[in-house]
Amino acid sequence: MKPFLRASFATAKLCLKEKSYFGFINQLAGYLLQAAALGALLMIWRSLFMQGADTGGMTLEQLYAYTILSTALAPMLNVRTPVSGWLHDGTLLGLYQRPAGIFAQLAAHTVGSWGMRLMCLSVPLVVIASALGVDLRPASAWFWLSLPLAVLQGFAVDYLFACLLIRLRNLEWCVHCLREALNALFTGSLIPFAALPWGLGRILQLTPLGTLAGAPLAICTGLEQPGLLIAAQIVWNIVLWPLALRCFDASTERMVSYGG
Amino acid sequence: MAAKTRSVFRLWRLYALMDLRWMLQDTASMLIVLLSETVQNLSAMAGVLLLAVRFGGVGGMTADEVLFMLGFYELASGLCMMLFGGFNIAHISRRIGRGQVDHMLIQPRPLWVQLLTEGFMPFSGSCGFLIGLVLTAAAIRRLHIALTPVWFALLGFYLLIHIALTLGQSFLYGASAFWQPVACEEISSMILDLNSQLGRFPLFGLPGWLSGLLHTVLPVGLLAYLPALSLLRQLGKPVELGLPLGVAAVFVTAAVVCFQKGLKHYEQCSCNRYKDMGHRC
Repeated sequence: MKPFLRASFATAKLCLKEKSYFGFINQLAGYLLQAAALGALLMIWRSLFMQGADTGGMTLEQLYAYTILSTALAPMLNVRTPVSGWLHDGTLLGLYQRPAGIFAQLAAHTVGSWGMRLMCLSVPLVVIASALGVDLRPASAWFWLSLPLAVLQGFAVDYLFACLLIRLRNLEWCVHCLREALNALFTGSLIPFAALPWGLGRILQLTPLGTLAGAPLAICTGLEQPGLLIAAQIVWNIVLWPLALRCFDASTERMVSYGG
Repeated sequence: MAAKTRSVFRLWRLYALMDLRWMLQDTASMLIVLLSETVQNLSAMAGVLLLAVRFGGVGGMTADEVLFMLGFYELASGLCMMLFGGFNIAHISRRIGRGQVDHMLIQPRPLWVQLLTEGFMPFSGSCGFLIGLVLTAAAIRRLHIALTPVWFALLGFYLLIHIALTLGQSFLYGASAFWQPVACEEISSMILDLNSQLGRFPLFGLPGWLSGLLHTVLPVGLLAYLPALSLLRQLGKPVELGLPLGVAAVFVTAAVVCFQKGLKHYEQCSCNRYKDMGHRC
């Protein structure tokens, strides 16, 4: 166990330090654009409240906290391992030549790559928001259980999307589009489920995608009671992990990479 | 000029045929592409629409007006992608940053003809356009908008403005890839993603400075919000025509100037991103 942890930690550290493919300026520009999009979204929430809409008990502070945390914790609420890109460019095949498990290597790379974003975007965002009076403290301590469960489930979902990509013969762009679309609406990362009409949120929040971002954010901001959401997260982890392992194993022989 | 115009139409026909053949070569792939495009387009607008339904309107617009605005956005961006979405023409920084302008410079066609025709994909890229058409028609029916020739002229004007602003921003910021090919390879995508994310929101009730910013420097308000208000006859004449035209003209002019400057730099320095074995570095 100890050598495994040491190797994983070393990989994550390496990934944190490595220069990204497109360089730091590109990363910084991406963070600035995300911050701009967040700012505009916050203003839109404000205008919604200014028009006197019946928000069904949601406060503006809760929506602010939900949206800010959604951006700050985005890599954890929407786990993206490099598996899809590496499958396409052939890097993934190299991982099989190393004396470590494929999932462990991908997980270590992913966690390592969060560091730069957390330092350059998430921490400044949380500090500025707190200084401006937005209370980002979790409304319930169950958030600290819900977040790791969401991360764990996120890895399983990502591996399942990788299997889908392999099955679809590397139609990477299509899978990417499909995932972005599902992510925008069904994970609750952009709009809280409590703000959806016709009771849609009640159903979506218990789905395998809905528990990814929606559960920890709703628990953290006090929009929902933690009991049912955490139970759903545990169930989906129990269901999705064996499924992901089985599908990935079955897909191994189908992997095709282009390179370039 | 007549010969060049003819060649533009010939090339559009050629690219349309290539697009159709690409679609027909593999039924499974075609269905997957269409499904993912449809889901992506519907999901992108569903969030705002659901908010509007839940709160009885959003940003000073009723739910039906929001539907009209979203329909217009889908229609305009779908048209833009149908005309310029292929071969990364709309995401021009990718072509530049990857050193693929070389491929264009050796073609026996002027660069502007290639840029005008190469992105045409009327079959595989028509999903957004068709969804936009259906949504706009549904909203028009629900809102009982009187359809006059002037209204259609205004619609055409705003579609052109949307395309000019989208391509203007993409080419203006994308020109930076001539000097920083790796760092700026994805800059056009970032700008278009931001437009896509913010362009679908009604911007009513924002502070004056922010609203001004979102209608000029980062003109997401001119992509659908202001055109929708204008087409719903809720704006004064000078604002509805002058502002979009002025901002679009500035972006297009700046894009042309910067692109030409970058092209001069490229002709001297080029951009070699490919190894002998074909991998990009």
